[in-house]
Amino acid sequence: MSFFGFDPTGPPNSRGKNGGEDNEVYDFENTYDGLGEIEEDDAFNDETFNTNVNEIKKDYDFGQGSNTKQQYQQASIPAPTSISYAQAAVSGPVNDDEFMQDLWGSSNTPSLQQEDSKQERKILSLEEIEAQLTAIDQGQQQQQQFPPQLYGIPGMIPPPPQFGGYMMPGFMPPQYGFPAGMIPQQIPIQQQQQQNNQPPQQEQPLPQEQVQPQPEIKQEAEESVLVEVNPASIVSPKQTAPKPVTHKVDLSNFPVLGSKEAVQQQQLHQHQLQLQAQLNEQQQQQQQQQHSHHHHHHRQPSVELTPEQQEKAARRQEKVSRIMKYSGIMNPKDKDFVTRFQLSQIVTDDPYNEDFYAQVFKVIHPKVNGVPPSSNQSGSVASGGESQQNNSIAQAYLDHSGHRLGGRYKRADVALQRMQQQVQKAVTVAKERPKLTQFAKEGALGKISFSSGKKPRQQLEIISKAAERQKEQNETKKKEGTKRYSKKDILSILENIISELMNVESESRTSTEVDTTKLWESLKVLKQPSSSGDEESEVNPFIQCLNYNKMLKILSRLFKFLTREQILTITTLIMSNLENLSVIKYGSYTTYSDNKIPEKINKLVEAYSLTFTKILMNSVLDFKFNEISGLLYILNGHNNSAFISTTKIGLSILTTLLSRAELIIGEGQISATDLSEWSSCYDELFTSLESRIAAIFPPNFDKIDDGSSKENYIWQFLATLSLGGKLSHQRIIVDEVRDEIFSVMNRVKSIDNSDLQNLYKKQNLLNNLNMYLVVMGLVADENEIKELQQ
Amino acid sequence: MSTVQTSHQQAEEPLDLIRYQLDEYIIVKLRGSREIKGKLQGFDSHCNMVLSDALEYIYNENDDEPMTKKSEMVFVRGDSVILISPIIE
Repeated sequence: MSFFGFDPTGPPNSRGKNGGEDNEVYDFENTYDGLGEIEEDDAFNDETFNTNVNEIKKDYDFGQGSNTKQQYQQASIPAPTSISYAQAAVSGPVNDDEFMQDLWGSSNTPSLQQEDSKQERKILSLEEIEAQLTAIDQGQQQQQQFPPQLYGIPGMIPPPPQFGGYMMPGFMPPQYGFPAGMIPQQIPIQQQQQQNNQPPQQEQPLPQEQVQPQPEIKQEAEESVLVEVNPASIVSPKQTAPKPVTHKVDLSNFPVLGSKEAVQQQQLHQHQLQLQAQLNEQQQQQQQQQHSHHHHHHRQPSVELTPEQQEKAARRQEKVSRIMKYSGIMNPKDKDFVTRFQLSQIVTDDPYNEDFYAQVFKVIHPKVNGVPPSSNQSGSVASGGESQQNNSIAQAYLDHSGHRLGGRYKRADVALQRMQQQVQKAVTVAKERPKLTQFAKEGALGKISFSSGKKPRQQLEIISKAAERQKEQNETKKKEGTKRYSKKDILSILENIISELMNVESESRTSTEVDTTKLWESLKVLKQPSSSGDEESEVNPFIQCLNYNKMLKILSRLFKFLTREQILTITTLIMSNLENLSVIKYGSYTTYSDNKIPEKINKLVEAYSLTFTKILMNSVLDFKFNEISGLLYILNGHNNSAFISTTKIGLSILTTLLSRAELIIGEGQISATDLSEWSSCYDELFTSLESRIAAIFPPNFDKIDDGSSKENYIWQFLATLSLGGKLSHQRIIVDEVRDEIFSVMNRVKSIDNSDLQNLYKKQNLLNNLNMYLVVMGLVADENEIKELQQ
Repeated sequence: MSTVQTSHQQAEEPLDLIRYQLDEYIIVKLRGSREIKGKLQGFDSHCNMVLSDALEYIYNENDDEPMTKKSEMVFVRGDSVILISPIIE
């Protein structure tokens, strides 16, 4: 029988209805060749397999006897010819041999049985089997009904039938927790029972007999057993022929399938009672068995079931034995191992990173499993929090896995306790587990990678030497020139940055000292110098990353972990690469024939003004005066300032730098050299902007800025530029933007004071305009522009 | 499963290709002659995905033009996913 609950004892045709076709395509039997081979001359084969070695096929059933199906059939048929002891006494066989024959049935001697089973498989129809069965008396039936009981009692070793229990210690798996002496102790009790049962029949003389000579080895092995077991054999030691029969008796003394005692014992066993308690119980159990044994005897003659009932009982019987077939095959340790194995996939010693949302959920809903939040909750006591976590994992596991003892049903406490232990163990293992994901064994061709719940698949990673060499060559080649980054490269770098950032963040939750070198390296700021106008794919990867929305989203988190120098380096890089940013590159209306910036870029511009601009403003606060003038110098030197000024982001960057510089100057602690440096820098910028200042206004500015928004970046820039300039500069600016000023004044005038709904627009327009005008000592009201009254 | 890899510093897994597309617009081909375009908000190892700003196209044998459905945020179960691709402009 196979290991997979598949019944190979069925006729070949029923196994695969496609018959021969299947056999030709693939044959599992063939694939087993050499694996399941039995060492024919192993002296213990008989004991191991309970049958002749030649009979053992590759489908040997370790769960129970090899003719299950027949047993089910037999079990379903009540014995109509069952004979009571009294009847047997009257019409029974006359001598011992025949008596044994009669008692156990002719098919009982091993050799005969084997033959029979062989034949039955091939030839016998159901009726024939039935007919055969009627010849077997009830004792025989009982044995055959209950072989699965063998495994019905966990913790109790089923003695291989031919050994009658005495050879057991050698076979006993030690984890069953039974001392070797235990089994022999219990066997005599069983045998006594048998003796008690048998005497009435033994008086009967046996009639004619068909004794098959037994293999010599068996006779000897069994003789010792039989001496005690069967008084009949003591009487006539030479008549060893029917002896094998007696082992079967042992079987019938095991508890009835699925009986309450079995379950009870199973549970008790799990509670790991003392050995003594187990011994007691087994004795008790045997008494119960005895009881049920008798019960069967008494019940059977009176059984007159209708066919339906029979069928029902048979089906039930079959079902029960199917369920019980392998029950008890795993001992508690095995089960523990399996649960731990499953749990190890679930638990983690780094819950904040791997179960982020679950952790957040716990913080938001601290009431877990009806356990009210304790006062020292939220993990202030580390051990307390940990055990509570273990508790919740264990509880969830039990609830989820439908554990027999788990959930909110009975015995939940015990199961929960056990499960907690398992979780604890699993957590320890998870902590001790090497963090590396692969492991190169010495001399191995590949690397073994550890799978986890997160990465279940990959088992082996092969690094081809050739590929490695080629890679090295490629790298050296690339170092000479500049690397071209594909979109995928950039996205991969970006995701790498994000995961490094998350690492650093999770580290910062536990310690104050955080190592950010890896994060800094992942940014690749110094990887490849580039400046505005370079080919898109050759631009520094960090700058390319800035074209993605997700990079902008993490910028503020990222900058928290960078030092002032690092931020300055990044800012310098950005200043020299402004035109490589797509918000600048594609963000100017001048590059589009219809003067309209595409929607996609507009969204990115929006994202920039929400993130990048603010971060830059904060960073600039930390910069020294000469650093700012240096940045402005780089900006002007590497980029076309006039072009940049036509983009919203470019303009706000300029505004940021200029206004910060003006504020520092206003503080009045700037050395003369710095100041002169700054004014030369400003002059340079102004020169490149001169005569193009009007272009900072988009062509349809009057339509965009109807005053409904407070958007004022253009006026802000003009104000800042004017503030830094001398009177001559201011005059040039006013000259250039005069038209825009008047257009705003016109719009202001066009909004009537009685139009309450649009009055706020008027105010916005005036405020924005005045921001600029005030710098030059002017002020505008709804009617005119006049000099500011001091 | 084994992979012959050329660069072992940046070991890549197949799912990385999806990871790189986070927060980007992708097109997902689904069983039942459907496609969804949308911004990838999240995914898991079963290719379950959450897309925002999604537009679903349902193709029909008889119609030339696919039916479209718009959803602000949609969960796509991984077992129906056939193909995932970035949208190349």
